[in-house]
Amino acid sequence: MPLLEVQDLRVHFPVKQGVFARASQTLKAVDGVSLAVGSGEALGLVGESGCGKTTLGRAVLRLVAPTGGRVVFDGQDITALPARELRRWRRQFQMIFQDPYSSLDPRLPVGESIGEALDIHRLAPNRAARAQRIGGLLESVGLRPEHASRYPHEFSGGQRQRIGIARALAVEPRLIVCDEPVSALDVSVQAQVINLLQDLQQQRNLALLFISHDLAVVEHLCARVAVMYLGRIVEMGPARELTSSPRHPYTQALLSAVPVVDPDSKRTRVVLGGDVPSPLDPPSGCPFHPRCPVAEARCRHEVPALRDLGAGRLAACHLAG
Amino acid sequence: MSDPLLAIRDLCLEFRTAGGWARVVDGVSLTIREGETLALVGESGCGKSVTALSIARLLPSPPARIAGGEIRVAGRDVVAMSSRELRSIRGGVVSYVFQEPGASLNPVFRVGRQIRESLQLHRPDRATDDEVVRLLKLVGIPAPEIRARDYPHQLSGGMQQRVMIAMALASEPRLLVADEPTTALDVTIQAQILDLLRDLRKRLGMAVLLITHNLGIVGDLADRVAVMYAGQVVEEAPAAELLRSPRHPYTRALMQSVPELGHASERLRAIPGTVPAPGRWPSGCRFAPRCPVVRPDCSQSSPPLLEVAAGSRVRCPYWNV
Amino acid sequence: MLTRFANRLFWSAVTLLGTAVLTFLLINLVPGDVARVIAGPKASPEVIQQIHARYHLDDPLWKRLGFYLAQVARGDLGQSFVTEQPVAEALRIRLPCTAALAGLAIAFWMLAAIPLGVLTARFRGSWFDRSVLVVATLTLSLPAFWLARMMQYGVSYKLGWFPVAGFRGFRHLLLPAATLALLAVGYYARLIHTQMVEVMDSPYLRTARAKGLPESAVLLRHGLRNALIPVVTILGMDVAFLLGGVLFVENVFALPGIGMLAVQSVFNLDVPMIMGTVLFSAALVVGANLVVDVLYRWMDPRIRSGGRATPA
Repeated sequence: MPLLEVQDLRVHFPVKQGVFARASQTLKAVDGVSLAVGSGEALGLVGESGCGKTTLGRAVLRLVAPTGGRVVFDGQDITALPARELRRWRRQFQMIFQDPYSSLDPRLPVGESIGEALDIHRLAPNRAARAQRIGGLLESVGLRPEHASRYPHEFSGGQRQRIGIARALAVEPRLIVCDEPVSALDVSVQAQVINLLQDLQQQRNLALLFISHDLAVVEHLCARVAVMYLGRIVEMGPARELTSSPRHPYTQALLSAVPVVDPDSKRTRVVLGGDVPSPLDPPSGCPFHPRCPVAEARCRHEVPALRDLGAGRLAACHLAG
Repeated sequence: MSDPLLAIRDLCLEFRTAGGWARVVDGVSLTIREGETLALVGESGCGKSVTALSIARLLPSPPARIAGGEIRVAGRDVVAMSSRELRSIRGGVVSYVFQEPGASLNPVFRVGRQIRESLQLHRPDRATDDEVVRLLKLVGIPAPEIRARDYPHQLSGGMQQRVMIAMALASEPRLLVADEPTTALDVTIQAQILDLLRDLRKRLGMAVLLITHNLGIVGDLADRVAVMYAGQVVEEAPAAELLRSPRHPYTRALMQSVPELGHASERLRAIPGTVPAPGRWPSGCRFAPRCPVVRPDCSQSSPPLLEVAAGSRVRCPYWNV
Repeated sequence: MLTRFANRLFWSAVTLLGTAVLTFLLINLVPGDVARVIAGPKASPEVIQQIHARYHLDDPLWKRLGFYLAQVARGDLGQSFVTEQPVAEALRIRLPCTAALAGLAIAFWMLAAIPLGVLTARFRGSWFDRSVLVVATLTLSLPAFWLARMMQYGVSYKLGWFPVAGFRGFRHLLLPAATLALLAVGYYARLIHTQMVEVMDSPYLRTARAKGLPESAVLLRHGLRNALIPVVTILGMDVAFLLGGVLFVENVFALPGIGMLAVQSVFNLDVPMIMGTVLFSAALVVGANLVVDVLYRWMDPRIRSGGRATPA
C-alpha cells in the first residue's frame, strides 16, 4: 500500500464577477489527477506556471479543499476528515515553500520557529530536550546549533531554505511536499539544497512530492516523475526513462526547451508555438492539441485517458505507443 | 580600426548605504563590436545587471554613482554626457529589454501606444499604426492589429516580453541589452523568446548584450561570454570555448553544480558557502573561500585578469595547473 | 461591468436607507418636544396638541419612520416645521453655493497638491521636500473652525483682500474655498508624494527612461497617472470630510449653503429639514463614490477588464 494515494482529485475554483452574479466560470486548477507515492519514495511533479501543480500539492495537504476525488494517507481517507482529527495527521506531512523568507516569522529567532512545531505536537518533554532537538535539527541541515538564536534576516537565501527544511523535519513527518524549493536560490547554492534533500530523503526514508518547473532538478532528485498540463497529468513514469524517451509530445517539447550548457550537444529542438491556454477556457479534446506538433483530427474531440504503456509508464496521448 | 560599439574600461560602481559607499562593480572592462553578442553571466549580486544599466546611465543617482572608469558608446563618452545627449543614446543607440515584462510595461497604456512612443522619439516620420503593427509582426505576435489595442495585463508573459522587444527595436538600436529576458518565463516560452532573439539578431545585424545567470542559454546565442563574480569579471572567452573548457575554478564549479538531464546518477558538486554580498568581499581572490582548488596564497593578493589566449582572459594564476 | 454597476447602485441604496433610519431614530431619541420648539415656550397645551396631531407626533416611532420613508420613496422630503418651505426646494436653492464652494476647494487643493507631491518626490530628501513635509504636518493638525476664523480675520478683515462674509458672487467663495483647500492640501501633497516615490521605483518608469523620454515626460506621463489611481479612491472617501469642513466654513463666512441650512435646522429641531440635509449629504457621498468608481476604472485598465485569474 502506498503512503499517499490520490484518486481522481479535482480542485475547482469558482470565478465570480460581482456579488449578484452566480459563479459564471469555473477554474479547473486540478482536474482528475490520480497518483501514488510510496513510503520513502520521491515523486517529481513538473509543469509550467498555471498547470495546477502547486494547487495539487496544497490539496494533498488539505491546505485547499478538494472539489472531488480522494486523498488517502497511510490507508486513511483524509479528504473529509474534520479539522480536529486532521490536526493529528498534520504531523505526518509537511510542506517546504519556494520563498523561505516569507514562510518564516521575521520577529522570531529561527530556533523558536522550529520549536513552535515541536510545541504544537508536544514532541519535547522539557526545555533542555527542546533546545537539544532544535540544535540537532539545525545540524542535520548543515547549520550550527548556536544559529537558533538568530533571526531570519541574518541568513542568506540558501540558509533560510535549510531552516525551512529543519522546521518541516521537526515533527518527523513521513511525507514532505516541496513547492519549488530551489527556484529562488542562486545557481551555486541550489545544488547544496538539492544534495541536502537527497541525503535527508535517503537517511530518513522520507517520501517527497517535489514540485518544480525544472525537469533537470526533478530528474536528479526523484525516482518517478509526473508531468502536468492544464490541471491533468499527461505523462508519468520512472524519471530516467521519461527524460530519455518521453512519450507525450508535451514532455518532448518541455525536455527540448531545457537549456543545455554543452555547446556540442546535438539535440533536436521542438519549440512549441503559442501560449498555455487559460485554464478558465481549456481547449476541447486533448488540452494540448492546439500547440501539439503531431495533433490529429480526433485530438480535437476526444480527451485522451492516461494509458498504461507498460514498464510503469503512462501517457495521456492518443498517439503514444 | 574603428571604435567598438561599446567599450567599458575599469568601471567602478558604488551605492550609498547607511555605512558609506558600497562598491558593487569593481574594475569591469568589456567591449562589444557591431553585430556581436556578448553574454554576461553571474549570480545575483555579482554586478552584472548594474553594469548593463550603467551603459545608458539608467542607474538612479543617488543612490548609485560611477566611482571610476569609462563607458564609451559608439566612441562617445557616456559618463560625461548631458541629459540631452543621453536621451539620444537611450533607445537611439542602446535599447533595453528587462527581466519582468509585466512590470516593465506601463499598466495604464495600450501596448501599441507604448511602442509608438519609442517611434515618436527616434523615428518620428514612422510613428504610425502601420509601423507599430509591422513591429509586432516582426516579434511574432499573432493578430498584431488587435493586440496593439491591448493593455499589458491582457497579454501572457511571453507576449508581454515580445512587446518589450518590439518596443526596444522600434528605435532601431545598434545594441540591444537584454537583462535576464527569459528568467521570469516558463521553459517553453523561454525557448520561443530565445529563438526570436537569435533570429532578430541575424536579420537586423544588431549587437546584443545578454545578461543571464543561466549558462545553458548562452551557447545558442552568444559569440563571447564574460563571467562575473563579486563585482569582477573572472573569465572571458569565446562562447564555445568557455563552455567546452572553462578555465576559472568558479566557472568550472558553476557548470558542475547545475543539474543536467541524463546525468541523474551523479551527485551534484555543490559550491560550498554563499555568494558574498557587495561590500563584504573577501580580500585576495574573492572566490578563494569557496574555491575547490584553493591554495594558501590565494587570499594574499588579488589576482589580475590574465590574457591566456587571444580573446580569452582569466582571473586566476593557477588556471592551467 | 453592468452587473457590477447594478451591484454598486444596490449597495448605495442600502447605505442611504440605513442613513435615513439611523438619523430618524437619533433625532427622535433626543430629549425635547418638537412641538414646543415649533410653537415656542409659552404655547398653550391646545396648540401643542394641535401640532402633535398635525405631524402625527403621538404615533409610535416605527409608524412615523415608515410614514417618513414612504414619503421619501415618493420623492417628497416634506416641509420645514419652521418655515413650511418644502425641504427639497430649500436644498435646491442652497445647492449652487455649496457645490461651487466644494468644487472650488477640491480644485484648489489638487492643483496645489499635485505639483507639490511630484516635486517633493522628484527632489526627495532635499530642503524643499523637508519643508513641505513640516508645513504639511502642521496643516494636518489645524482645526477647521479655527482656521476659518483666522483666515477671515487676517486675510479679509485685516488685509481686506477678500469680502469678510456673505455670498454675492464668485469672489466671496475664494477665501472659504482656500480655507478648505488648506486643510487638505498637506495631506494630499504627502499622499501624492508617497505614491510617486513608489511609482518612481517601478520597472516601467525605468523602461520609459530607457526609451529616451525626457524626465518630465517620464514623471508626468508615465508616473503621475499611475500614482493618482489610489489618490482618486481616497478623494472619493474624503467627500464626507469635505462636507464636514463645508459646514464649518459656511457658517463662519455666512455662506447660504447646505452647511448653514443644516446647522440652522439642528438649532430649530426642524426634523424634516435635518433629515433632508443629512440624506442629501449622504447621497452626495454615495454619488461621489460612484463617480470615483467609474473614474477609477477609467484610469486603471487592469480593473476595467478584470484580471486574468491563473493561480499556479
